[in-house]
Amino acid sequence: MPPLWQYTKLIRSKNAGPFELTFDVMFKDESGLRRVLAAGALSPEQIGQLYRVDAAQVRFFVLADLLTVKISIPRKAFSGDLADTDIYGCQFHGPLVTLEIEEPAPR
Amino acid sequence: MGRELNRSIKAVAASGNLSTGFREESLVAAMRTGPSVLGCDAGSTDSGPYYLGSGKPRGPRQGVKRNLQIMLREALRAGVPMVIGTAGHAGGRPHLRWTTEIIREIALERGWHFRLAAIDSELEKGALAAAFVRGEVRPLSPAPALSEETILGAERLVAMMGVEPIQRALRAGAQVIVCGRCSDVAIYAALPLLEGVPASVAFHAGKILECGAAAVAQRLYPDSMMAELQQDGFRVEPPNPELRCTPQSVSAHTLYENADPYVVVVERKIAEIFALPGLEYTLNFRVYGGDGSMGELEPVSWVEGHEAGLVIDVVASSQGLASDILPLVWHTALHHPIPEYEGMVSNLAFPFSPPGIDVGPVYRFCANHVWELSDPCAPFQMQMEEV
Repeated sequence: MPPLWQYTKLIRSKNAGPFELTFDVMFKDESGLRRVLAAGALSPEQIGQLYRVDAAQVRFFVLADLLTVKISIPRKAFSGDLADTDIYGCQFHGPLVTLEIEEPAPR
Repeated sequence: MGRELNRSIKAVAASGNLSTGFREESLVAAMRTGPSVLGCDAGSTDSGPYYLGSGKPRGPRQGVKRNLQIMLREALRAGVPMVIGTAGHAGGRPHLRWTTEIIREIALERGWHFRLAAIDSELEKGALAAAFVRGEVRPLSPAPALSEETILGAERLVAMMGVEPIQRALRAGAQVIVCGRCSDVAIYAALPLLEGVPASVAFHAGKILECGAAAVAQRLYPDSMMAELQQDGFRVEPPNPELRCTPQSVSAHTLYENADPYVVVVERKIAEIFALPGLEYTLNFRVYGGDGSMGELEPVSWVEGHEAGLVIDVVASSQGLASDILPLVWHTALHHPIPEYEGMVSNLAFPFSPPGIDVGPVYRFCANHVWELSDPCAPFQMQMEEV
């Protein structure tokens, strides 16, 4: 199946204040949103693995009316801190863009 | 509240940030629709802690002056209040002073007169430390660990104001209101709330307006935005016919820079503080073409090719020490041996001479906390003057 970006109109990361990162994944249509969720490609656990945070710290929202999945995680380094690599937090979405969506297992 | 609003209230955002800009014709067109308030956010924590720590505005002064001049002209012509949030990018006392000086300068040059309110949001360290000791200060999540020492040693502390201090200035008849650190949403929600717009509508519309034209589908350049608020919702529209909103672009902006889509934060909280790191020095190697932008989270650790960008960051306890370390670092890196080679090598293509640049002090956000207050206006001193 195609990578995540092919299902979407927008994938982005950004600071939500200096201490958190937030990701917005906005889908083209409801079937794409459903397929990606059914494939298990986006979940707190997956995000936890991808961004190396405890799944319990992942805030995960499915906003079906907006065809959107929103995810927020704490920053490893706060914005502008010594170890920070991206002050605006706007270049952390790359791994989501190319995320492989597996075929759902046949029933 | 409780009363039904039987008319609509219009609000105009000149731009998403006073230090960027807008097309004059866009703002003029928006102001012709009969708005009740004109606003512009001037700040952000997005650019990091430098501006708050150093007390320097982001500028550019000429651009900000141009923007303020057009906004003032239009607000005075329409006879509506103008609200500037988070003056000078960080909303500290020097940022507030910088902005009000520009406004007075314009007024003097143009012969304009109005009542100006400047709302100071810088906190007195001793008072905050005392509140901290009394247990009135609690962390938001996530937040750095805060201590009395951190508070007293911080370069600058600001409280983020909600709608109340702006409403106090509006009630006092201010036509131009310049705020220190301020919720972006409050800039646009303060007046509609006084007019009876429901809080859900006022805050959500404020959230859409706060970035100006950012809520359009393709934002080619920064520009103005307008909203019409009613009892049961609001309508947003860019005044510039080249730009357009779509349901997706507006809902995308509801989500923008907001950790929880169901919560818009306009709480009164104390915010960004700063302290110097207590280290002798640190070296940080950033490899672009490798993991420069995502660090340890980068899943593709190497991109094929024959060059990579390297930034070596030296941070020391003083500028003098950092400047002394810098040539040792670049010279060592320049001639660092390659294991497969024998003989002296030079590895780096310096685009500049000297290859290192002093970039000044480093600041750190060191608080993300709420100070529980009985009076939401208490920390915000308002200064009113007739210009």
